[in-house]
Amino acid sequence: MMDKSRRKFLGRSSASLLGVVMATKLFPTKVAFASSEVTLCEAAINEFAYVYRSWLKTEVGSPSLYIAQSGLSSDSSLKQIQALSSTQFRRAETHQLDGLVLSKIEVALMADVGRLYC
Amino acid sequence: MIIPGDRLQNTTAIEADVCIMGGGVAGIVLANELASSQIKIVVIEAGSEDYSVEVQDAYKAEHSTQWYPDPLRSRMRMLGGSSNHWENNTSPLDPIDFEKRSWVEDSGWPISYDDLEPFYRSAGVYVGVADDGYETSYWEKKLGERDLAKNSKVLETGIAKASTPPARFFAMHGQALTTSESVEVYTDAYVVDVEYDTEKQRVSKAFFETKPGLRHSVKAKTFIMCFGGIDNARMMLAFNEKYNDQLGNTFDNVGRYFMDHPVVRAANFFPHQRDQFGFYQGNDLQSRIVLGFFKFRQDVLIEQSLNNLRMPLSSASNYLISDGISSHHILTDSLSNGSIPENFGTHILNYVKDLDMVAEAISRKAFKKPLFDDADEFGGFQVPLMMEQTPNRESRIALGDEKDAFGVRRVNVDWRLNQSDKDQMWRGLEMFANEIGGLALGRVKLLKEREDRLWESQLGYGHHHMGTTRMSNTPEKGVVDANQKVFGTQNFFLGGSSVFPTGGHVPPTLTIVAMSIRLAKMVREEMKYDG
Repeated sequence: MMDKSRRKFLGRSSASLLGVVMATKLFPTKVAFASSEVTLCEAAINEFAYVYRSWLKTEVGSPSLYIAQSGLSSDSSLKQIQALSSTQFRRAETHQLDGLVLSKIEVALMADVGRLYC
Repeated sequence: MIIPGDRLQNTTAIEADVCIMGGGVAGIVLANELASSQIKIVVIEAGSEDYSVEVQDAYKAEHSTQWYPDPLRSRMRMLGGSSNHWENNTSPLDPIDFEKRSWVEDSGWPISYDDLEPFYRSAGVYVGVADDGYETSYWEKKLGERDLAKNSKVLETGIAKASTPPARFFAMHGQALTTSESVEVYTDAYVVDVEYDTEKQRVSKAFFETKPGLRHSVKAKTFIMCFGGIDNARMMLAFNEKYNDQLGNTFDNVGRYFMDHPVVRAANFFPHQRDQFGFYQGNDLQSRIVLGFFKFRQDVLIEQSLNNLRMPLSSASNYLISDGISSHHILTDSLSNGSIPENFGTHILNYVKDLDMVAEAISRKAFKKPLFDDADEFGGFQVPLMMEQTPNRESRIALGDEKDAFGVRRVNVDWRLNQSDKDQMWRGLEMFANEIGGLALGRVKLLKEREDRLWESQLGYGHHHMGTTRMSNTPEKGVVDANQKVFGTQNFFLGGSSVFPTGGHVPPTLTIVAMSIRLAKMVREEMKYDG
């Protein structure tokens, strides 16, 4: 069996990470079934679960708590999240996923999705 | 005029105003610059116009640090020197590279960027990339590409230029020497010794052999030795054995502070929009290639106490950028040695997650054919960063016991990289990753799980040998003065990157050429003054 690579996932998600996160966060089931590439979605789900486990190893508190404390809510726009993400990068508020440097809010959002599958 | 060494059947005594030892990049530029001054010049070159295995053998080291390339492979002993196989990647040093920086031990040149700046434009012509400079805003406009670091407070875009094909110095600039009546170029002529008058502090003669034992002499007013970053040190050490360290080695500096540019593929870059990065890919411009690279702003280097660092982007396929293949190699190596690598779990995960590319690698190796169509598709950028090495006295060229065919002792190359330089590279890369994220250009992956291999078998080198006869204001800290004159002598100069006290992050050739033009000017003036 050949799994899709983490590299591809990371490459793709780095291009549209927040979009993926937002869509998956709000409609995880729909996203999974909407895609014809079911294996990709499975891989993505595995990745989100992996991110959640990684979050638990290094961060204090749940990802959802972190998101709430960051001032984001379900009403937040993608632009707001992107702005926060940029600010966090510049403040070095980052989290490394096997070396991939992501802002904490990105990781928290992915981890929050991953929590659903763990 | 070229005089092949085999024409000298008997011991010959030659006289000249200037004797240039070495017909590589620095030697050719010096001869060209001085040739117009009606000064009689003799160039002595160990090789000829053609490559010869026998001649090249003199570069072979007796011993080199593990993984460090033998100079036999990185240098070229022939007219034009190592320009015969270089890639012609040129940029000037940054002003900060010349400065004394408290966090970089033994940094600081006795000259400033401003001293060299007037010569960089002419140097650009010599290296075949024209005299239109390296100003980022100029190239942004000229190429119609975007400088993505323009609004950054951390990064800026530097410019590298190369000519296509790369400038081969003898082919490009040799004609002026072969047709000039005031220049004699002796080929297959191996410099083995000098005569030094300890009272007058002058080198009076250089001796060369055209075959082992057949020795000739050159008497000159001025001697300039340009044998490259390793052999300048080698011959200086050899001369000093005879003259009790009076040739610039009173303080045991010859051969020390040996530096290179480690090239570390320590990060991958996943861009948001690949087509934004046109400025950072090779822009073909009528026999020249111009490309941008990321570097840190000078105020950031100061504020963060960082060595200089260059972060170019190199397009990489899914296959090349695969974590799985890298982990596969690490696991295979470790397990075959009966050990378990660090980050074992991560490697297993990479392997499994990236199984398609691992299978691709196995197929390519075992069956010599690809397995997946998308293996060669764009996967991201590799960041083959070039780092400035902190000068280290213990990193050195020394004489070995073995001798080459002409009886000159071979070198031992003990190249060392400080742990603090490695740590600093990771710190710099994290800052780079943060700023790339902050600029919303993409995401950077640091390849820390490959750390051991990155500094060993996977470490690349610029083959830029520097620092072994460093320039300084005082003989306590260097071998040559601000005019490249050897301490303790009145008429003996060294050319090339061996005189660089620090190396920045740029390939040295453009600076070697600029400094050679400057040196020629000084020699001309000095000779005029001497009558």
